[in-house]
Amino acid sequence: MPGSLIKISEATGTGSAAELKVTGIDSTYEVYYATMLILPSTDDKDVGLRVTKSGTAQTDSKYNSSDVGLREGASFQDNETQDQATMYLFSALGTTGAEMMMAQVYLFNFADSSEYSYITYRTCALQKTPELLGYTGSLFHEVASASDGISLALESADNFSTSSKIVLYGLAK
Amino acid sequence: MAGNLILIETRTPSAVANIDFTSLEESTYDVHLLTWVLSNGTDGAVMAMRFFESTVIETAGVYHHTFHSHTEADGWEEQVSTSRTHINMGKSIGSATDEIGQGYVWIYNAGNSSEYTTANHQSAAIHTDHGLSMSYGGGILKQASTVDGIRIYDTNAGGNSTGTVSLYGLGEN
Repeated sequence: MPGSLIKISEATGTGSAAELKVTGIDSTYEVYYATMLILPSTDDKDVGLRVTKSGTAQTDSKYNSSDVGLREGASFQDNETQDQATMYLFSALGTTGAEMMMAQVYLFNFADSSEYSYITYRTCALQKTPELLGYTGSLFHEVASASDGISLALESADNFSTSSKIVLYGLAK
Repeated sequence: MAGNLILIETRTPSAVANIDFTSLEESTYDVHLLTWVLSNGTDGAVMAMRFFESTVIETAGVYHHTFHSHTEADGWEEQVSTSRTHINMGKSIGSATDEIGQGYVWIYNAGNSSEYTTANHQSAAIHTDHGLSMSYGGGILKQASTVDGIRIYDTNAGGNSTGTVSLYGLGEN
């Protein structure tokens, strides 16, 4: 029996590019899903997420999010932001292989031109300290038009290492 | 064949109170995934789930749940209950233009008559204040039984749901 989790595209870090992007989202599927393995080239870098429209990351201040940070070395954090130009999935990533960020995200309503684009996300990593952190949250991009992918960028335009990878799937409907 | 996610059924309700899945193929799948994208005709919809046991829906206060949510208007909220009549799968959703809810739920042990059926969820929506409404949590039907159906409904405003809900089974071979 054919499966219903359909691979759409993937992107792998090159060590010399500051953007990691997957596209290919259209109305074929109602819900999309992506996995991420992210390792920067330089220590202590935040990783930000944006949606893409016609393949271009949207840099407008239209990102709104809420998440909970589960911390090994401190109290749990409740975080919320509005009207941001990017949505940070993780802060202070390190550069050793063991400090790689892992994430799974569900993407909703991306192809609907009359709705906002929504994402639920779960991330975890040993950040540079190192300290184990995990974030569970949701966000939306407050522009009612179709989005076709997601784009990641590291703080200070750092390059994604060759260990970095995003894989995008569609869930058959 | 490797493990696989298999679409069981997609429902596309239009202004209905209850969205029922009555064929879970629970003897085949130990784990189910449900994705939902729903708008509601009534403001303040709170989407929830109930289970059918041997075709009879369980409406008594026998569900346990833990729930953590955030809205811009209400801030962070924690819910814990051992006598719930349902399992929440989202926070309140507005009914104005661009106000829509979506999320996913993983369901475990539905077909195992000697175990409890459990679920965990994550959601993103637009609240009645037009800000982000996010939630995550878990729930249990705390009585050992075979669950062979799932009802999705609006537990707050009575239901008037339109959208797409898909049910998948996680194949093991």
